[in-house]
Amino acid sequence: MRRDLVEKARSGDREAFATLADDSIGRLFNIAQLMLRDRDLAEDAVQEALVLAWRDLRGLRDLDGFDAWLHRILIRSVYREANRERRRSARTVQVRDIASYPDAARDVEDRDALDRGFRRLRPEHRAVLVLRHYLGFSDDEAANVLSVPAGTIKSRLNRATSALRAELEADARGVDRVAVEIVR
Amino acid sequence: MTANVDLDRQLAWWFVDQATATAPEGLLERSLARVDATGQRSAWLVRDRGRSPRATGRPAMTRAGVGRLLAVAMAVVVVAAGAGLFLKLSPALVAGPSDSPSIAPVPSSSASPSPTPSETPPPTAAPVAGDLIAVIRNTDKVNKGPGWGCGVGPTCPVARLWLVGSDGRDAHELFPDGLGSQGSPAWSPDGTRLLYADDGKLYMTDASGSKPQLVDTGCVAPCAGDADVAFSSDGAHLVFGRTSLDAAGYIDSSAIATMDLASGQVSELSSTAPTGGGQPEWSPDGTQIVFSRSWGKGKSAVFVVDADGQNLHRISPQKPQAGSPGWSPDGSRIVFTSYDPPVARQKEWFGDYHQDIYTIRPDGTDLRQLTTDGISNQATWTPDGRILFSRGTGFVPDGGEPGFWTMDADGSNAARLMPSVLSGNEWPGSLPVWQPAGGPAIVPPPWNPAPATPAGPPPPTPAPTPPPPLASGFAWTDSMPVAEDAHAGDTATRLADGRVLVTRDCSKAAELYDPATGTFSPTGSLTATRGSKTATLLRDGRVLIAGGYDCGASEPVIWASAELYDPTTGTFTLTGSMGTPRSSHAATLLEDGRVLVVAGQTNRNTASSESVTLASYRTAATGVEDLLATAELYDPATGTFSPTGSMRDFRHRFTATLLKDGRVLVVGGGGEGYASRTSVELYDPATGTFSRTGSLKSGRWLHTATLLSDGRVLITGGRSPNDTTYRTAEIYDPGSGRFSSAGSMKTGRQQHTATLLPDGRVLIAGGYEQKDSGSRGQTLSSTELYDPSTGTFTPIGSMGDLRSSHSATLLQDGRVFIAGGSYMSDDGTGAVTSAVLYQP
Repeated sequence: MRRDLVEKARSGDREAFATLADDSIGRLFNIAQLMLRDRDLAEDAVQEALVLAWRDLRGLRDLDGFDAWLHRILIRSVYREANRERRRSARTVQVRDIASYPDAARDVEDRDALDRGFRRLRPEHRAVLVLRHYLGFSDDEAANVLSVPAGTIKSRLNRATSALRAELEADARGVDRVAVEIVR
Repeated sequence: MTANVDLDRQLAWWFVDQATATAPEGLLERSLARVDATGQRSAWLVRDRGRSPRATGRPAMTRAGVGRLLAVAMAVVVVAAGAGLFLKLSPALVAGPSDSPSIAPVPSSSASPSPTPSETPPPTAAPVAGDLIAVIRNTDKVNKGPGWGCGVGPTCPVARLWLVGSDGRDAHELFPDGLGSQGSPAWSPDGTRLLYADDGKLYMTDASGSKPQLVDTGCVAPCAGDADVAFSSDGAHLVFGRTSLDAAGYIDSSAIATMDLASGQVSELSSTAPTGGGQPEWSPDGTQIVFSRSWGKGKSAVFVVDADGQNLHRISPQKPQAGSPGWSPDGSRIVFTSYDPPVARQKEWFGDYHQDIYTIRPDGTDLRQLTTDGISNQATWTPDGRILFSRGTGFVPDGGEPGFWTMDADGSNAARLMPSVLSGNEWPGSLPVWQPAGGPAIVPPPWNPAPATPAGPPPPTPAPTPPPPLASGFAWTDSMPVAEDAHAGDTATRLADGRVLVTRDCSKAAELYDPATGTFSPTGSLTATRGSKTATLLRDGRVLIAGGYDCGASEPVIWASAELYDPTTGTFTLTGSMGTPRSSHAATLLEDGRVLVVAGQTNRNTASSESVTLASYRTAATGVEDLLATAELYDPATGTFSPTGSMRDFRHRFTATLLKDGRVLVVGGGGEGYASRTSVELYDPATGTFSRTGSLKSGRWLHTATLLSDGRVLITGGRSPNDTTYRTAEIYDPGSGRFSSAGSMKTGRQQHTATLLPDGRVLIAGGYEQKDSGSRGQTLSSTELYDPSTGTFTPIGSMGDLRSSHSATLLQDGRVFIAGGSYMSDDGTGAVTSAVLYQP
């Protein structure tokens, strides 16, 4: 059934694509917003991913691989949003400094510790944590979505968890992060 | 690993908690609309929407690049000034025309080729002067291809100029063709003309939108564009914000500029650069200009400057942050909007800032807060001296009565004028302006601009303004080019010819500072980005750059590679690699010309495969890292590293100082976790071994070590095991092998510098102070002098900018060159680009 939809969509059936998108959009949005910690950015990423998916669907060879393929596109869109956000903040500061950018480091007081720690992780680390702990992906599945060898998933997951733990500990100590940040 | 399992479970629950049951309403529809609008599918997909790029009505539309950049920049400002809802910079991307729930808009034009504005009949009867409010509505439009003014992205933000009757009737888009992106509307004093900015250019039209005329402001490179325009009350002058580009084509600075319409004279008030230019307005008597400007590391405040650029001063208090100022028609008060971060629970409701309206006298006295609801903003004066403002502006939940409001100048009699003109997917643009009536007529165009001339005093040399006063003995010198990703941690190496090689963390770019000319110039690039590397001058005049971490890698990677800088060719080339990747290590030139490389951090897998003393060390930046106790020797003759004896203790962010007898003193540093070491080891090049010597009285890392003229070593400051910074100093006597107390600095410091002066004294500069472990610290601009003959530290004042992890280099002429570094304060963090010279 789903395979049929994918095949139809691949051959240009806009309604089939809409059905597939409808099926996936909740999951896509959650992946994006968990990674980006921002609903608007997440919406942007999802929309961009769907636009790209429609554009590139004709090139999809493995009909059963649609979901992983769509996830892969989404993750790339999320990375792009994350980077775009960083650049935008730099430019904002440079142009006219009305301090319009909510500096993550500045309003740490009003977010919970996990949120704080998670936000400080690299996008790649956030991605692997979301894939594993939210979607419950295996190493192989995550590797497929992130386009890296399965072995890398293990080490990246390790790194991500350690980094998050370090953030949490630093956060609990209140000041260590300051020292480390200023050092690096 | 059980701890990890707990964290994993915690994370899983948190994700579930944070996830939403369904995607946001309408996301699917919006996505599919974009899918359709993009229409980039191959030709065999017959779904032609009948869309073709529209004819461009105005030249501004055809420009992308700089103009688009500027438009985005302006949009940022507009949003900040309007509602502070930063998230709305990336709003849901919506295809197609939007509708307003409150006020029926004039229908957008059809897809047929649109007439130019001059051919468009006014959508309503000719308006009466004094009756209209000009409003900017921001939304995103789908990119319809070249000529659409969108650049290359799928969508772009667009700001549309609307007029609405002051009683809320007849809201209509001034240019119904949908072209362009207008901002900062401004009425002429008599209400007959309407200025606005589009794509960095100023245009003049009237309330019927008749053919807009370009106002030539003589903006040629490096001028990037003008916006935020306003008439003087006599109609004879304009004031606007002017944005300029740097050499690389990035928007670099903004400043206030004025134009005398009769003579065409444009004057850039350079004292307001580089962060001026926010919504300037003339005082009613035309002698002064009020505007918003950033100061002191990114705070925004209201400033007043004389019309000739003299006497720039801040009038709004340090807190709250302030913007969007406006001068009352009678000249007695200035209204502005505050931007304070909201309290947590309000955040979802009110966006990123808590905004209220204040007035203040032009001399900065008698501050009055007029609203307290946290959602009032965009205040401007009505021609009759009341205040027009927005409340909520579309992001306030039910009951907030969003819309335009008015109140008396003292804040009384607040009443809603009309509901919000914004629909759900729009966000507010620049300030609403109420059309005046009966004022003086403007100087009639055409206005022919004379070339722009700088007016008033030159901008201060350092970027943050007003410039912090320099203590006696200090003088500003050239600033370093901005390295975009530069972090803390500079190296500065004095070359044989007296010039200084400067590199920054995480930037491949290198610069040469020439003390003779006082300028920086670029030289070759490093082969890799290297954070926490070392740079060591060799006997032959080349510079050894060793190790450091790869700033661009998604996984933390520390380099084993090293490179040589050759001043004769100005190039960096790889040399032999170290046996072990290292960052935060030390590299010391020995008397025989070899370089001793000691300890530091390494990649985890590298270290665990070696039989060296090491420990897992966690950092927030890169997760788990490992520390080294090993050392290597670099031989410039062979260009290779070879192992030498190991220390007993692993460490990083320590010091290694060449003693007069040729041995190397390795002091303190960070150990496991955040522990500071007291241990000290001596390297003897003759035997190639380390041995223990007397310990520090206090364990420290991130301290300094300076060889004094008499052969002793001065250790100052650093970070304690209790996560505070030390004021104390200790002195090592190589004769006795012991440390003794050397008094205290006036300020606790870590990551500061300590430079031996020709007269034997030591200049202590900057750093970072943390008085107690529970609080956040502050980067320092203060300096002190240590006099070994009296054993005392004496403060000598400010070096201007806050700096830590900067460099301080003794020049051949005895001056000290202090450059770069980073700062961290309550106002944020960043890289410092300025440099100062100290003349003892």
